[in-house]
Amino acid sequence: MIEVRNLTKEFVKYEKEKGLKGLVKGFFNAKKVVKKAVDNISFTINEGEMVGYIGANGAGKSTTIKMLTGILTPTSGEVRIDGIIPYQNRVENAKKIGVVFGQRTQLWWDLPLSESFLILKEIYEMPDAFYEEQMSFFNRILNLDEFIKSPVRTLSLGQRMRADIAASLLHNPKVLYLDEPTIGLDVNAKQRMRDAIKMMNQKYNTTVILTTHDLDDIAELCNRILIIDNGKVIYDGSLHEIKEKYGTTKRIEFEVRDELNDESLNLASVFNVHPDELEITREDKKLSIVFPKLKISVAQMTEEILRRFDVQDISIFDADIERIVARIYDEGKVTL
Amino acid sequence: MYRVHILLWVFGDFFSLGLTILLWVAIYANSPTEMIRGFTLIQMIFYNLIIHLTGSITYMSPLSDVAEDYYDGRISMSLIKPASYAIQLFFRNLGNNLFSNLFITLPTFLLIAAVSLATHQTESLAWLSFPVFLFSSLLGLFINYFANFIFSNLVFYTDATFGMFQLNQAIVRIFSGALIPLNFFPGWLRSLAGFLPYAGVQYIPAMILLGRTTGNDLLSAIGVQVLWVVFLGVAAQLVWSHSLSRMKVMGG
Repeated sequence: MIEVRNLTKEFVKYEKEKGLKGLVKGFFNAKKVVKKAVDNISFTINEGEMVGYIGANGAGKSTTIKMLTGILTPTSGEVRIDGIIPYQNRVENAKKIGVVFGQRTQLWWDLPLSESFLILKEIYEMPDAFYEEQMSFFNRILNLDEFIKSPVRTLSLGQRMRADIAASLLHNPKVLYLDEPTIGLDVNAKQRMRDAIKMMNQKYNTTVILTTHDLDDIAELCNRILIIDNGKVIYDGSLHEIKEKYGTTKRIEFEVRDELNDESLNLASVFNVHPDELEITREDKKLSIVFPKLKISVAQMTEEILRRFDVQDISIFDADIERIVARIYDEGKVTL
Repeated sequence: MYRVHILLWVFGDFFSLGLTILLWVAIYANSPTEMIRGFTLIQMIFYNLIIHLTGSITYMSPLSDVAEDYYDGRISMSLIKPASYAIQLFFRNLGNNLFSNLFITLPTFLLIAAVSLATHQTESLAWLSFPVFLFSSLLGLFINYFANFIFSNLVFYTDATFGMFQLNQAIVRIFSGALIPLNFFPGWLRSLAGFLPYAGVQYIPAMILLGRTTGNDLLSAIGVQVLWVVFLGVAAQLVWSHSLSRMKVMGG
């Protein structure tokens, strides 16, 4: 469905020196700097897959998505979406895709929401019956009826996002690109978005590419993730595998009665591990400890803290995906 | 809120028309001859009225749209839709054009009719050529749109807009005959105007309605317009293709 081969995108930037002198100098002779935003990446995504595409800010995610959607032309390499080259056949490709750019809306700002949908119906040449069916489906899961008559500029962020997701899926695209779709949404709204996406995928086998910093989104929707760093794909595989191999830590949160003062807990020497292997955070009456689960067992850690403090409550967590990914961003590579 | 906006726009528009006419009255008052370059005062007044009319009929201003879309990054939203950007832009501007026709063309037309009746100058206008005039104006609209669209592509290459607007506006105003009739230009400027499409936007239709272009000249004038429409239409497509291939989209 989606074939990417040796895709590269370079941008030319003109660097100017600081200050007035730099400005004038730059006018005549600016230094040309070539930046490789996307550096020779390759991957294949099959129909119906839901893939998370993550990376630190500036890693090249949006640039890749823009090339897949036909907005940018690659410097070199090949992209094929369902056999079509997007930047060469932009219009044809556009008929089969849906896009949600979280920061921006594709709806018409001054018109009532219902008008936006009617315009989209015409743009995508949808038959009446199909349009009605889709609208009632989206009304159901996303509760659009509440605000369907309001002008888009009056909608709250949550409402607008729900509308945008419906708009992107209205014509039943083969591929759905989501760029930060849940940004700024409250817990319920996020859940509704995820439900809508999951249902479309189940019903129509929609291929979904999700770019986000919200790893809960990834955890709930994607079974495969691609991690991009500095323009290169450094990991392409299942979420499960990364958790298995990288999830070597456990986190325990203790709620204690005592006032935690600044006395050093000295846990590193107690357990005979390097202080860097432990992450201890103290806030009010909460004590949170992240530790290597292969070296210190849950029982051992719990026992130690129970011994020293008057513990009111204990919560035990597996390694956060966030932590794993942060490590990967830091290291710039994945070693499994 | 919109009402005030419209009123101010229309008022400002007719105000500047009035000023221009007053200017010509002053010029003619100081002229030793009654005719200047083939126009009497009353004919010059009609010229300005008609130019005002054609300006409004052919009103198409994609330049600001393109600049806004590009700077803001919202051009990507237009690009993910299955429609050519140039066509999307055309219809966006058509809305403004229809508005302009409603609030400026119609009143101007009535004004022209009123003035021509009041001054008993009903022969100053070739009313029989009116259908041809409309057709010529329609061609002018497309020429205007394509020429402005092509010019607006500069935004993608230079990252500069304000100066560009001024430049484009100045060029269009001068060479479309909006400022002064093209036959007032000195030889070399007149020839230059002949190489540019802008005469086809306003000057040609205006001359037709004034009855100054007739017979074979009329046919060749329309022919020139048609050629410009085709040529610019193709050029617009090519320029846009190239811009798209080099596009950098603002924003993450």
